[in-house]
Amino acid sequence: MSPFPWVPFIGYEAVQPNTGFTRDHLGWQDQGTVTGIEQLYVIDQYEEAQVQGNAPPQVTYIDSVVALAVEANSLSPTFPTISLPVAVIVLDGVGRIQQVIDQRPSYLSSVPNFATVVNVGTFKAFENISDPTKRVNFQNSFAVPRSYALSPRIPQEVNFPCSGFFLGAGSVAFTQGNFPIGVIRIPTTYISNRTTPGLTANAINQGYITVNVAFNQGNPIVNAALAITTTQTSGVFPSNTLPLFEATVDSVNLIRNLVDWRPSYI
Amino acid sequence: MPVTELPLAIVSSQQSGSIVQGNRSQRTSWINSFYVPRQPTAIT
Repeated sequence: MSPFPWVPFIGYEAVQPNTGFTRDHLGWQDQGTVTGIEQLYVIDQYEEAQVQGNAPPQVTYIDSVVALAVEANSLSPTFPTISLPVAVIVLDGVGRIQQVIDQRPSYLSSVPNFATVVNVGTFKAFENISDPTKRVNFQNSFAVPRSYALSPRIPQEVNFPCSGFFLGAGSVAFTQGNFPIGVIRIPTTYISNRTTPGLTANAINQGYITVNVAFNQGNPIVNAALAITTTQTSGVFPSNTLPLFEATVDSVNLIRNLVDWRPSYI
Repeated sequence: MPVTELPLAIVSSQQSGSIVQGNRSQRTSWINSFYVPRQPTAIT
């Protein structure tokens, strides 16, 4: 899907307007730009007309979903309230796309807690990201490499069998009551059977973030760390942890499968 | 109401009519839906 026929850069998708029918073929309508900035979004145009008072509100059988590329005045423009924001693009003088800014919503207004620690007070831990309303922030936090291609232009990030992979960096924040009391940053980590934490042969290995709170002279000391343990039951992670991945490893320490288990929180 | 986005996944997905739907609770499903490349696509 692309606003320009020779640049297919946005992935396959599906949406459901209020008629209830599923739509997965949307053509982008490029309305042109003088500023060189365009905002891309999906919208039901009849519903937009209803919101603006230009169409009778009782009509629910008209399905007019379109994908639009509309001129914008800034890199963080306001999207129509009933639209699904997709991206902002920057065009150069001859109409080539030079920048793409992901604007897809996360459908969250704040980051949910993944752990609660009760220990002389109640402590909560959650992913520490800059703007929880944008999907791209969750996407990059503790990134698990993708083992499948989204399209010929977006290939996979790991191939199997492989001996190891890089798990992306992430950050965990802690609160006590409503007060922020600390942030633990975990750098990008290479994971194989030779690392610590590492993978175990002939097993399903689960990777997740664990947290704990210790006390030093009455002051809470928070900590978060990556842990890897083996399991017999795929998909069931220890409670009070942030699930990240499952790696299936064979008898000669080669990774045969890697599944992203990070929650969407929705 | 805005149009409802249906998360899509290429892995762990189930067929519903002609649409392959993902698991709403998994982050990968949302990454794949309307995938936007992380790197700018500079066309020269």
